[in-house]
Amino acid sequence: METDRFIIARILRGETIAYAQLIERHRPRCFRYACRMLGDYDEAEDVAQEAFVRAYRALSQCVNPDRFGEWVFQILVNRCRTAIERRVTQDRWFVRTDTDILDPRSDISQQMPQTDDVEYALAQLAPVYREALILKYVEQLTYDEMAEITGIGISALKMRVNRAGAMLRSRLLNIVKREENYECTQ
Amino acid sequence: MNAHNDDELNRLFAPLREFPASSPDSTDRIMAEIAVDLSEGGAKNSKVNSGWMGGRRPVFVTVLAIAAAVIVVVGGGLWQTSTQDHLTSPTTTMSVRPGVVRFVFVSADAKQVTVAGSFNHWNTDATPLERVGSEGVWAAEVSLTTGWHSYMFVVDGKQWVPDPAAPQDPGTEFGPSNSAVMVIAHNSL
Repeated sequence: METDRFIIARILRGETIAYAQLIERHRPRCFRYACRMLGDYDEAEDVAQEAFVRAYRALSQCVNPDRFGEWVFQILVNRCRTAIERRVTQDRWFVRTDTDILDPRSDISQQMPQTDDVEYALAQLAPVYREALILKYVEQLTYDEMAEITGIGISALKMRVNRAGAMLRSRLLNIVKREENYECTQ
Repeated sequence: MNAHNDDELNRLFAPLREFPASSPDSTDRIMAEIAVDLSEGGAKNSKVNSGWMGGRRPVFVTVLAIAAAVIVVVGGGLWQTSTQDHLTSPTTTMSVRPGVVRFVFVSADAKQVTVAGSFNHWNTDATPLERVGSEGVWAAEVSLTTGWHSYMFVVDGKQWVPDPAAPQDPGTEFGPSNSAVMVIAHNSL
C-alpha cells in the first residue's frame, strides 16, 4: 500500500486524481466522528466533504505528509465546531448543564441503556463535552493526541472528560428511569 | 476519572465505534468539488494549484497527467492545440471537443455496448456506443459537466467492464473498480 507521503507527492506533481485514494483511506474515520458529533448524517457528509476539500487546497502546507490522517482529522474537528456554532440556536434547547444529577455510585452500564439512548444522551451534552467524550471513547485518543487536535491543555481535557462522563451517566439514568416508568404504566 | 468509570464509558461507547455507512458517491462528490475548484483557476485558497497550475507550465503538467487520468477540458483553445497527438488515436477514450468525451471500447465479439456512469445515473440503456468501422471499435460522444465522473462499459446488457484506457476510480466499494474521467474547465490552465 502506498504511503500517504507518496500519494501526496504524486498529487503535488499534478496527479490530482490520486487524492481519491487519500479520501477513501481516511474518510470512514472522519465521517464517523462527524456523525457522532453532529448527529445528522447529511450534515456529517457535508462537513466531511468540506474538510477534505479544505485539506486538498492546503495540501502543500501539510508539514508531515505521513500524518495526513491526523491533519485532515484536525481540520474536520474544527469544521464540526463551526457547523455547531452555526446552529447554536437549535442546540440551546438541549444544553442544561445546571440540572445534572451527578451520582458517581450509579453504574449505568448495569442497566443496559440502548445505543440510541447513548446517542441521545450524547446529543444533549454541550458540544465541548460531547467533543471530549467522542475523542476519548469513540476515537480512543490519548490525552496528548486530544490536546494536539483541540489545542486544549491536558489537565483541562481530563476535567472536561470527567465532567462530561458524569453528565452523560446522569442523563442515561434519567432516560432508563423514564423507560422503566413507561413500561410499568403499560 | 477512576478506572471503573473509564471502563464503564468504554463499554457504553463501543457500539459508536462502528463506522457508519456513508453515501457511495462521497468520494466522487469531493473530487467533483475539487475539479470545480481547479476549473475556477485554482482560485480560492488552493496552494496546491498555485504551485503547478499557473502560466504555460500547467499545460505540460496536464498532458502528463493523461497517463494517470482521463482529463477533459471545457473551453478549448490551448487544450486543443496541446493534445493533437491524443486526437489521432481512435481506440481510447478521450476528449474530442471541449467538454465532450468520446468513450471508446474495443470488442470484436460484442453485440451491444453501452456506457453507464454517474453522468447518466448508471443507466445501462441511456448511452449506447455505435460500432465504428469493422475492427470491433465502439464509440459514443457524451457532453459532460465539469467535475469527476465514474463509469463502466456494459457489454451485451450484462457484462460490466472497466475502461482499459482510463484509471480506476479508487472510490469503488464493490466489484471491479469503475473507471474515472475528470472534466476541468479551460480557464484552469
